[in-house]
Amino acid sequence: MPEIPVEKQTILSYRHEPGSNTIKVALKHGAYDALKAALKLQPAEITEIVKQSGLRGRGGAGFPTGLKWSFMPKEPAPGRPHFVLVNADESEPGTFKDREIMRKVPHKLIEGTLIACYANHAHRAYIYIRGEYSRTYNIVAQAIAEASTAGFIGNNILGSGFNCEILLHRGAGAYICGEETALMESLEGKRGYPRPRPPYAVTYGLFGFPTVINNVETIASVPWIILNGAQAYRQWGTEKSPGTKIYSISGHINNPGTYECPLGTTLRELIDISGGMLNNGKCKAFFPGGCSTPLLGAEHLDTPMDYESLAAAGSALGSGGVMVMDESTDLVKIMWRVSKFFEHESCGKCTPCHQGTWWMTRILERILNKQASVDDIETLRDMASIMRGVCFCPLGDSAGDAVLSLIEKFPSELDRYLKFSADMTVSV
Amino acid sequence: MLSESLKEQIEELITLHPSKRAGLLMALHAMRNEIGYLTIEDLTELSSIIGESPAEIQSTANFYEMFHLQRPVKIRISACTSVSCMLRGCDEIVEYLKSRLGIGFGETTPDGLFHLEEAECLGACDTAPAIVINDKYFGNLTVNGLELLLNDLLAGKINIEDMR
Repeated sequence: MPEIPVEKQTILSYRHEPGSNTIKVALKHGAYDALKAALKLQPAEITEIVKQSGLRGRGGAGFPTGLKWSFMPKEPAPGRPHFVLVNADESEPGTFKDREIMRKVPHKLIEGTLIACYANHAHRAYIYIRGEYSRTYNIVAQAIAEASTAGFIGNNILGSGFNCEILLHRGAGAYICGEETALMESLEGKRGYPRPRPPYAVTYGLFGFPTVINNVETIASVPWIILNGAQAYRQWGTEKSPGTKIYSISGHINNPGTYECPLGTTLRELIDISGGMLNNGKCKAFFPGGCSTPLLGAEHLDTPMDYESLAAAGSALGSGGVMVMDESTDLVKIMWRVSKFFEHESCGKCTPCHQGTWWMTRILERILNKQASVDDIETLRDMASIMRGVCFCPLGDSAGDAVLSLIEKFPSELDRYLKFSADMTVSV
Repeated sequence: MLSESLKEQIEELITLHPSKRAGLLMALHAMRNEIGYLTIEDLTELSSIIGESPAEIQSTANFYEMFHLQRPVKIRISACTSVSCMLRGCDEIVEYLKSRLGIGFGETTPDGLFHLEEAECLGACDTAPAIVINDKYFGNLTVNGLELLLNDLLAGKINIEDMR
């Protein structure tokens, strides 16, 4: 299953055309045709189509999108407006596909957002873009202005009687704000501390109102599904992971970049699509979906990269931010950097995470400095095992899982450091 | 003291949402764009416009990497050292920056011109190793290329104002 032929891609089909971000080019490629079709349907019908398509959240969690939409109240209660919130806080290391969508085909995102609003009785959508993506922000802002001028955003859109506005919002450098409840806190002008769930956003979301939160890629998948139908989306992927995925691939490969492929494409195929291994190296290990997904070894080169297969392999698809490491890589050093990332990004709200991420990083530093004993590895394993299920939000879970995957799957990487220090101790 | 134009922008931003507080991050961005960094005085003034305590506003600004509560520098370099950049040689880039500027991460050159910091993943992994200078991304870096870039920046051949 190679990369889908460009003209058939559901999201990135015209990204290589100069000016692809402009409405002029977008309209040439059918932009807003799906919106026109959607406005002729009932909101509930749209949710049903999305449900039938099997589209799953592309931000990382993979929750079925149509199902999430179906949890919203059927009609807004008096004084309780509905919102759509697009999570464009893309900060998972190795992930840059939402950046690509927003910069190259922002009208796809806008169209999907409008359809999502219509389906969920929302008249305002927020797009929260990570702060560092300042040029991306400008491009999306310009696209919104174009769409407004053309009458796709605003009052009585296309004479349908449906009103909708889209507000852009910037993050300011905080990975935790990609977690949906921390994102809401941040948008509300507070520190990005996660909220307890339940209640979920569909019940108590932005400003306490019912909110649908979806990732950029998820929303950008919707127009194609509306135009071509749920069954057509299922021509790709698997029963449980239908459709296409924009994989971000980077690391020791020749052509790092984003590639829209059927879900279930293997790493071997992805490496091939991205120009092969750098310097003809051999793959030693990879993160399938950012560093929040456990490390996998080269024995998984042919594992389909879909939600269920990667879960069965002891990892996860996550954001699909694939980072490929060849045999020259020191996995302990990589895992130390990953641990340091989680330590840095821990919001501080819950003790097991802000303490756990701190301690795991300190122990990994001791290992790298060749001052660690076998006991230290056991302490590290204990800490990493405790994190899952005990921290307030998935950041802590992921931090523990990452470190555990090194200890359990690549013990020989650690042995190298220990053996050396063992050699240096002298018994007297 | 916030300028009149900033105050106008802030007033507009805080009326967009069901709560005034929700305009805070965009207001802080507006201040950052105009002033470059945030003083306690400016944050206190902002807090009274929004109607929250100074402590609330300061502690919120403090949470975010991009909002700096220290003296301004002309050229802020953030070097990504995350996984994909590590795999593509960021160590060399970082070593070069440290030795050329004579400072480590989190430090400012004595003349106040450069500040160097370590960045988490910038989302530019396809162009690793990557850095940000003020707000502008630079990728596919080599030590030679970076040397030339810094030379041009210092010689005024590249406008610092374009680093947005």
